[in-house]
Amino acid sequence: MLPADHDDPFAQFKTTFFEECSELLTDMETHLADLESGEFENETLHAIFRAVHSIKAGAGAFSFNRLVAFSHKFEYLLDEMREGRLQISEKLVETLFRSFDVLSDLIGFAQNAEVPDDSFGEDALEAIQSFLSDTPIVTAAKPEVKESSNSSADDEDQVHHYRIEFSPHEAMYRHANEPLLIIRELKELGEVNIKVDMSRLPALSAMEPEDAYFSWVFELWTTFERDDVDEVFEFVVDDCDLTIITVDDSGHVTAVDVSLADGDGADEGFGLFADDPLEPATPSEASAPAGAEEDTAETIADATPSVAATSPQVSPPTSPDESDTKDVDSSGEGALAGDGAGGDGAIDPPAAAGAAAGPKGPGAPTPKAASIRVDVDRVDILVNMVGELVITQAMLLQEVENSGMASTDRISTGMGEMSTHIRDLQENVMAIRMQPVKSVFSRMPRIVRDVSKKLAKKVKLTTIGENTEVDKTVIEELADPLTHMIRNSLDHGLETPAERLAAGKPEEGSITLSAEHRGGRIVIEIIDDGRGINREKVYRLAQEKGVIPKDADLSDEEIDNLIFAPGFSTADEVTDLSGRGVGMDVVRRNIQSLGGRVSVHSTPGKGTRFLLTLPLTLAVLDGMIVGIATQRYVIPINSILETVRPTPEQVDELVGGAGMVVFIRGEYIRIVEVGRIFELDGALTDPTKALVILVETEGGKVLGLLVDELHGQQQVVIKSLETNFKQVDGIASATILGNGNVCLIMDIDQLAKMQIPGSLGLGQEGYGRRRLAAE
Amino acid sequence: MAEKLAAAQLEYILPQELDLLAAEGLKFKLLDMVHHEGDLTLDGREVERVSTPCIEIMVAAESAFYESGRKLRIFEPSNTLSDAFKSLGLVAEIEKWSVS
Repeated sequence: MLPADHDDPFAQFKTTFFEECSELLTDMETHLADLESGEFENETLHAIFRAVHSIKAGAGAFSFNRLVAFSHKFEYLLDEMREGRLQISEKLVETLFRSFDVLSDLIGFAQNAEVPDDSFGEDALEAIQSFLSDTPIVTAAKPEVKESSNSSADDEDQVHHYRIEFSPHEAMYRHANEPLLIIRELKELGEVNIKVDMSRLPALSAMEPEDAYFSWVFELWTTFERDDVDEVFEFVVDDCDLTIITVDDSGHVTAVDVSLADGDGADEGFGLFADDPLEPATPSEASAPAGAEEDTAETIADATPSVAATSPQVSPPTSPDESDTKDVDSSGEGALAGDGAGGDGAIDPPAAAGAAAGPKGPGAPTPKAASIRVDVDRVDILVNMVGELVITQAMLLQEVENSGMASTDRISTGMGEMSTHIRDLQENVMAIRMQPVKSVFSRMPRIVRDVSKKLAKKVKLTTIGENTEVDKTVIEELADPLTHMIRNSLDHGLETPAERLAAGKPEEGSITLSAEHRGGRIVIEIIDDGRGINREKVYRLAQEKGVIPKDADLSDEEIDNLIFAPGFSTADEVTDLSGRGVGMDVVRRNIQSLGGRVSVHSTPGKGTRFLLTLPLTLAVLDGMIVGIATQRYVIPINSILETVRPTPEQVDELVGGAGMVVFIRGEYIRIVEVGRIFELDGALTDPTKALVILVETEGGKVLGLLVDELHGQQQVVIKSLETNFKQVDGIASATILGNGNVCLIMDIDQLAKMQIPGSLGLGQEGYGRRRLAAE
Repeated sequence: MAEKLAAAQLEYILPQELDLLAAEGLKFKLLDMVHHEGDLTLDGREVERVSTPCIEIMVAAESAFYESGRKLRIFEPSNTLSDAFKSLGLVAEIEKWSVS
């Protein structure tokens, strides 16, 4: 297993492997959902097959044997589907999903250097086997093993069975490697059953005469040891995909060793995976004994050569050139026997190595990679550096302005141009971190499928805008809230088929998950066509649980949003899905911690719509700089509705010095005296002389922040206060202004709940402004 | 498209050396034959050295003939040629194509 050793020379490659696994699993999940929906093409099956094949290949390179053995079986099942020998059915899709789970978990085990129980994944393997057992499979009869004069004395009676999948890369022949030689050597080891796969062979007119198109599966029964088998392929390991499967007497696979060359075509990722994912399954995958394999692989005889062959920075035993030389030497005898039966067959002398200088020889240019994999930390460093650059630029700009320099001055115009370039630079650097929400959305079909099955509900999930991009950090934090909201919709929102039919709705419910960019933010909607929120029930429960006062006068929207209150649950039965009453509160907190907002809009009997808005990035923010006393603060622009200076008639004092309200367009809005909350001497306290900035909280409440003056709008680079100082109430984070001063960014929601020190205060943002206004 | 020539039977004597360097020439020779009319008989008696690429070309050529409703046969393949086919797992093919 993976050693927890920091000196592991392959640690870097393993990291890459697991990253690629994660991407492959995401793709697989998407394609599996397509399979289930019935909206798929043959390419969908190929894509799933390729993903499993790639995982198997990479896992083999690192000797993750359980993973290799399971993925091999999974791959086999998929190949049967690709070949049309298995038809899609609900049971089959179920098996694919179960296998996907096991595969996913095995990757997790490998990543954490953990060893799963022997029984882990057994049910999935049995399910796979049940399908394979139904498929007619041609198996080669085990022949008698010829007695070998070279067999070792210790192991004289021990017959080993190896299944060798050998798939030459197209350039293998040009490197003077000849399969006939390999086969001859194999035959010298024992009895060989040969199956050739000609599926890659193109039409004659399309053939490159010196390219390799055949691949083979050899069933070898030998008294020789595994090292002897490896030796046969020693000089072609860079020129082929090679899988050597050890099979025991009962036909069970005991070890699978996958070796991928880093030669031509292996330019995807870091060469850990198969370089030719479009390559059809090798014949053995269609001819492996049914019911033969168990996930009991233990050790691989010699994994080192595989790793060496697959790791681009680790030298293989010999370079391709050395291989050429070796082959020339080994074939110098001229005509060679074609098989072990002593035929006088001859093969061409690899002295034809000169042909290696052909148009596709080793010196030929390889395709350029379209993308590179970069450590996120490096990108973050770049983002921070650009942030600093923005700050410095703002400082210089301010100095230029303060100097009274004419706007036509070269320095002044140069500063303007530099501002534009830096802004572009910042946007492009931020774009590096942007990723499509697909990685999160792709998990949802599975959740819908599993949950709807548990609840015996019929649901169709539609996803829209999955290529909408958002910052990587936001994506990582988005999965849990989305999962919970989807579960909530399934559990509480959608009715059972019988209830839907009774309500005159289609039996199958609908959930739509969509994402789009709107106004510099990403907006995610989850819409269901279920029963909607039972407001009467929500209101009653909220009162019973003390979430709201007994006499609270709430609007429909306010009642709907009670589901986000801590400890609130309307489920008649607490289920293991979403009815624990903590979820939606956590959802809102998670979204808020990302600088986002979540709200719910429901129409009884018609459905519910959850609306999430999130910033595209957590690194920069468009803010309004405001002044209070001698201090400056940033208020996020997206929270601001408008700014007013009320007349004396619009302002009312609350009884007991609890605060002030401002009456605007028929509504009383609470004024938050920021200066007093922060205990700033000299802050204006009279709203008619100061400014009231109307802001909207996450819960949709409108508040008036009392500030002295506005200093203008500016994009600011967010700096964590916790990291650089400590958490401060009412403050979300900090930034650095052009003059070099630290400026605090207000946390509107927290401010709404804070009290003026020493006052009675209303404290909570309060349910029921009508009640508050009445006082 | 090459001009099709009328011919009831096509014949080609396979060279002694069917090594990698011979592959390109073999391909174009057989491709040319495909563009003629009639079945093709390859004379395999003289073959002394064989390579996998040449066998792949012969297999592709046989497919081309088969697809056009014609036949490709190998007349008295030498042991070398026959064994190479068999070693590569093409036992059925060489047995089917062989004529004497």
